[in-house]
Amino acid sequence: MKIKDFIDKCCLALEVEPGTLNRDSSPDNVETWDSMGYLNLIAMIDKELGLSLSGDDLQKINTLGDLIDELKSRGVLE
Amino acid sequence: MSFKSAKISYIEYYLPEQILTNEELQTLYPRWSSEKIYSKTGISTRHIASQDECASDLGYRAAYKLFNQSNIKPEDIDVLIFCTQTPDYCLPTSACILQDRLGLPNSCASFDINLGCSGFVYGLSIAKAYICSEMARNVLLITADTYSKVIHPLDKSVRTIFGDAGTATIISSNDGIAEIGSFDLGTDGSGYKNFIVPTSGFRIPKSSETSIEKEDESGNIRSLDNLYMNGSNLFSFTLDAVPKTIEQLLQKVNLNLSDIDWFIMHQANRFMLRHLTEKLNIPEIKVPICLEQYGNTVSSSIPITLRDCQKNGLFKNGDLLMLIGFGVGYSWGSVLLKWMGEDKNVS
Repeated sequence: MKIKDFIDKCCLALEVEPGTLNRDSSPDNVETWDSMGYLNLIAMIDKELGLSLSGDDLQKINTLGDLIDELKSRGVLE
Repeated sequence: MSFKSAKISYIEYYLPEQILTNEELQTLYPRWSSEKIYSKTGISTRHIASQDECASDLGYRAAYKLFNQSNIKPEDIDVLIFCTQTPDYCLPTSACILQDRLGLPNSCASFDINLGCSGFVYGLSIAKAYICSEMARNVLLITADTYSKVIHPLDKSVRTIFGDAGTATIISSNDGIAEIGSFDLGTDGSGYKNFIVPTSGFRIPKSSETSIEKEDESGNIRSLDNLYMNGSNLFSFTLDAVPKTIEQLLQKVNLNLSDIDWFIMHQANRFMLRHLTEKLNIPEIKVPICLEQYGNTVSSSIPITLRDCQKNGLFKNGDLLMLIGFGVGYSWGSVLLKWMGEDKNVS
């Protein structure tokens, strides 16, 4: 999956307007990125990328940019 | 005597009277409207045990109802298994108290098992082993929990989800409504910290320090004396473990996913059930969701779902059911049932 498409999927998962997330987005500045937001992200990544990230994995990731880098390193994002 | 198979013959459940609604919860959690709670969890109400009502009381009521509505009598019971994580005491065994209260004979073997969401499937596996090894004719499996007593009122991550309930099931060598088939059981104790009441035993004794309340990053308040659930880790575990146990059980019995008529999953929450159903590529209609009125009732969720589906006439003679329990431990289990049609429960 391309990074732009992935960010679009993140907007859907976190229930925010399309185009409002970027690499600096984080639980600190996205209100819906709460415990439920984490579940939505895990579900989306599992469904779209076939990768089951643990909550601990996600908690170590501070920003959407970190998440993208992590998924790239695992070879599931272009 | 020769007992070739074990069958579920009766199921009953009991819900405590007090009800907790989303409207009551939204007054406590400023950013969570009652609609949001419903849309995320699929739950609108939960039943909550009163202050002096314990899990064994809920189990007693369910069993009492069952004896009243069936032709089985307390003296017919050879084994009582009580599945709970909120017993009356750490010692004595709550099942012993229930044996006396229910008027079961002194020849009845009685013991507790401490399991949560996988508990009903494990209970069936023990009951089947007793019956097929000819050590018992009738096993009474009671599940009951009162998680509400260990949930902090201001912890929305768990208070929105869990409800209290008790169920009673008779597993018998005689006729029944569902024949118990093969099992797949499993454990991964490395996840034990993700779903825990830290001071519930002797490892961390309760003290003034453990009762100090703290707020987490999501604004939930709890102390070490309360239930803690790491929802995202538990969700990841489920996405991994449930498809595997289903596949392994199907392999054991040489069946395909499409051969199964009904998947009766532990009713964790609607979000999780929907996602699992989609991931497994199972038609939604084959996965009954039965938690709107009850919430997640831990080991009671599968028998409650079975009983409600039975009352609604969902299952037909010869239908294959797969029951799948998963959660705290981590612990999981799946079992196949063949529905035998004859509805012996009085509705």
